[in-house]
Amino acid sequence: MTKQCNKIDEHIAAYLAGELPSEQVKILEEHILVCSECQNELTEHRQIWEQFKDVNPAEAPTSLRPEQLAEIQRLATAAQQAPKKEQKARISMFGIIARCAAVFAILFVIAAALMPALSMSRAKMRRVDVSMRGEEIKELEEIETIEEIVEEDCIVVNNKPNYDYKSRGNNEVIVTLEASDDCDDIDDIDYAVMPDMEASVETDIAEIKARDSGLTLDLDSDSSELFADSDTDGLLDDDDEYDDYGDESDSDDYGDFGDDGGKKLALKGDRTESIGYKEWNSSSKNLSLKEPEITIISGAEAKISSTNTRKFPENWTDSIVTDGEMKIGEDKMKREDLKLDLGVTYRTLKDQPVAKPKPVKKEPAKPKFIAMKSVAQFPFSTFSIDVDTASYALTRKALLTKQNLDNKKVRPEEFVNYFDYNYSAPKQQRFDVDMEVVKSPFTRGRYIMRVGVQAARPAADSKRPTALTVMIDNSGSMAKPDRLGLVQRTLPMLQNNLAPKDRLNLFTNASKPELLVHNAKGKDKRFDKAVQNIQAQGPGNLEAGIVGVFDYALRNYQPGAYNRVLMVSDGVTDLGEHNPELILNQVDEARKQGITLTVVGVGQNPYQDEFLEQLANKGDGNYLFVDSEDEAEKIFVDEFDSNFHVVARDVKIQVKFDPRTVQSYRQIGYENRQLKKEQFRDDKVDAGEVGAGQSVTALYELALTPAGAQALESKTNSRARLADIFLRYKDPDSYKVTEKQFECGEYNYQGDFQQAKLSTKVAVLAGSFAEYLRYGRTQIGISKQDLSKAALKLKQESRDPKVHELWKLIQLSR
Amino acid sequence: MKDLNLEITEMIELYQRQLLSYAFRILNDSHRAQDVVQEVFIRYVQVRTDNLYTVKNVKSWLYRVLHNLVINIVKKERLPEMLKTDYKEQCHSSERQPDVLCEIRDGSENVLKLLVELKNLEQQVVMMKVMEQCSYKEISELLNVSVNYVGVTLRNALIKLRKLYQMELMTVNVLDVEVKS
Repeated sequence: MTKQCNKIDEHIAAYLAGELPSEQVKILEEHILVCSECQNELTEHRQIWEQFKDVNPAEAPTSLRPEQLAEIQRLATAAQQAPKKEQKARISMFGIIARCAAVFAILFVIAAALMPALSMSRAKMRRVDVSMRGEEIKELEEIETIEEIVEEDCIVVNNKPNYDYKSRGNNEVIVTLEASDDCDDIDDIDYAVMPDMEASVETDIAEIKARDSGLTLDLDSDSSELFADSDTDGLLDDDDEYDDYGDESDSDDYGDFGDDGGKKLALKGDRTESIGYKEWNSSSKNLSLKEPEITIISGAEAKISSTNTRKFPENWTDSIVTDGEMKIGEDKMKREDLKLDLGVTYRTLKDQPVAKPKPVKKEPAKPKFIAMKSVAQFPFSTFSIDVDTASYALTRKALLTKQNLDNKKVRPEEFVNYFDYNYSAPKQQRFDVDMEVVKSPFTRGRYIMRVGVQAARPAADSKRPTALTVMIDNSGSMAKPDRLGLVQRTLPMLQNNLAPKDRLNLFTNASKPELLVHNAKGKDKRFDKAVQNIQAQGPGNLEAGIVGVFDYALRNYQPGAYNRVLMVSDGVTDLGEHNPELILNQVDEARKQGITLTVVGVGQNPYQDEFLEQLANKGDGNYLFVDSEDEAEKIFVDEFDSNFHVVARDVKIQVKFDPRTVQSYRQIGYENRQLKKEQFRDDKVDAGEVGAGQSVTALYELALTPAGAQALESKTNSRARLADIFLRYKDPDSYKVTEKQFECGEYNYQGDFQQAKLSTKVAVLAGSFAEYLRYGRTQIGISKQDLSKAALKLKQESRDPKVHELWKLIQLSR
Repeated sequence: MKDLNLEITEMIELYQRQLLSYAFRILNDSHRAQDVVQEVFIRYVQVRTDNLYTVKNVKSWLYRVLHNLVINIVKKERLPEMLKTDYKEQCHSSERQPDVLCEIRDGSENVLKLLVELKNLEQQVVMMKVMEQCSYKEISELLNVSVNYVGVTLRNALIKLRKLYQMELMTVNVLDVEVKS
């Protein structure tokens, strides 16, 4: 595929959508004639397009039925007549976010709109910091095309913006742009990468922008004050940095806002800048590409005739521009007139940055097997710790009930971490690392390195109290013995681990959250009773529950305690009124305020499985799956401390292999927990949490250099080193960062696999079994017989029922 | 509070047609479409009376709620139904030439199957662009994202759809071979 083809490929969607500028259309069509590959591509895309287009055209009803209308009317009337509910003083997080977002959005917009005008009035160049956040950034970073995106979006004809960017972690990137004054589309960048911009614009961004444009923004002032206060002279004094570029006399030519105190626009020639921000465009479906676009400024004044002026409403959204006429309220006016009298400018589509589609991350249908990595090329392996175990429980259920197994859901690290390894707990320090190197039982000539990280278990009396808010989904689908029934039988066990100083709240949630127990002390009978009395009913609305429960948890925040929400659900839920992203943001917000979330799934394969996992990730918690009473006991009782008491946050591990001894390596599992090398010491990067007494095990398959192999086998005390292991974490309260270093070398070598500690054997077997399920026999070169044999041996050595279970599962697998 | 009754009447006047068309395309059932659209308006009344939050962009809100409701119905009712009628059996039990039948599959059902595989936002963009033929600009207003992002999303969606479509074709071919042999 040539470069040209790649470009064409990017434009096909826009072409089919009829949104490609005419010159690009020409290029595309010419290319298609000569390139059969692209032609095929286009035909296939078009086929799909046509298929969708043909779905049920034309016969759609045009209005609601009369009785439906009547019903809506009745409800509306009833709602108005009902006495107004007293508004509780809700510390609604949603509200706060929305309000903050609104404030920032306004500031942002003003700043963005102002800057071109201001800089134009005094300088030719300006620097702007733009923050970009959101899921998209992750994708961007992975494909490393941020430069491309920025470039594409910022360049307007004749512009050469310079930019550099730094990652702040947390999916946020700060881009510093240096752009000439024609480049007035900087705000588009944000939109291009942040679907949910409002929720993620941060205070400092507004401030940065303000500073760079030479304005001091007062967060309380509204837009009009801002304008009245800013006069051009003051601006120049504020900012010396740009004096070289500009010249005071320029400002007289351009800037005349502030003089009349209103919201008029700074104009020169045919240039206009929009203030207040509302872009408008013809909504006519037949809009030809050549037709100019119009930018309209809401809140601006429009002259309808010489005597009659009208103001565009601030939230002007619904007027329509067609055929050169524009409707403002009752009045119509011509486009030509608009240009004269309004702060309206024509921007042809040519000036508009073309939407450049990003290269798409290819999602493999099958999980992709990651081959050995050469140490010379990639000496570092960095990953975030993961303590989830849901994948093992889900797989077990699928195997035992002989259902189809989704191999994408088999995550080897969750298999490995499911088992108990009994590493000795550190006394003084927070973490200890236990390492072992043995020969691989399955592949001749390879070695396995096991790294076990064990967290300390704090003494019972030093434990901080727990403030636990439990939310039980009691929608209709939960009404089964393996769902609500299981929860009712097992959840009260939770109390075994609670002390009287702990606090316990209970919610149920069907269509909306309902508070059953408020601030009960640990071991309170009310809680048990309330749980027993829950009945499943009605349709479920998980979102409403999450919003309500987090709102409550925030108001009920217990300083100095572990504040945690425990959500139990089968994941059968409808999407309601909100975007799922919004909910995730809210959970993320709560995490920053110290409330974490544990998600416990029950029932069959939950159909919002992905959503639940994301929730737990955002909430700094874990996603657990309960399929039996034993499993529930394990989670609620045995591992209560590790599941509910965090001892370290953002725990990351970096392994640096020694190229003298190790030739190549491959990590088993942790596929979606991989970090970049430099993210290890970037403390903004979110990583996994570790609970009290919890252990995390990572496995590497190694191929050694001849020198390395000799050092291990010669049994002399060569002190040869294989790898350095760095562990970095934050204190959960003070957020103080600690980094520790450990060495793994010849002294950790145990020889044959049979000589290894039991823990290593179990870990290797569990990891290999998971890989076998995930990638299949051919990819990893291990057969079921190999696994069975190893499992049988292990079964004779170990009394752990979990190991016996593993053997059984291996027998059941295909 | 502004007269809610008046407001809602105006809203219905303004938007019901578009919303019904949107729902109908997916559900292919006038009655169901009307029910869903009614539900959207009722929810709006609830939101307004409970004062849960302020709806900033009404049109955008209506579309989002409608879309979520419609997709819920598809996921809950239509898909299980489709899965029940096993495709393979159909081919076998038919009197007609199997390969002919295998090719004729209900277009709309096929489309639905593909659609639910997409992300929420992608679904909405595809619906609005391909079916309703809105412009990028309109979609960006409705979904509250930038025009550029609409383009990107549409492209991603198309690529995904193509891949899914190819996989579908592959299974059809495999079945074809099985039936013939």
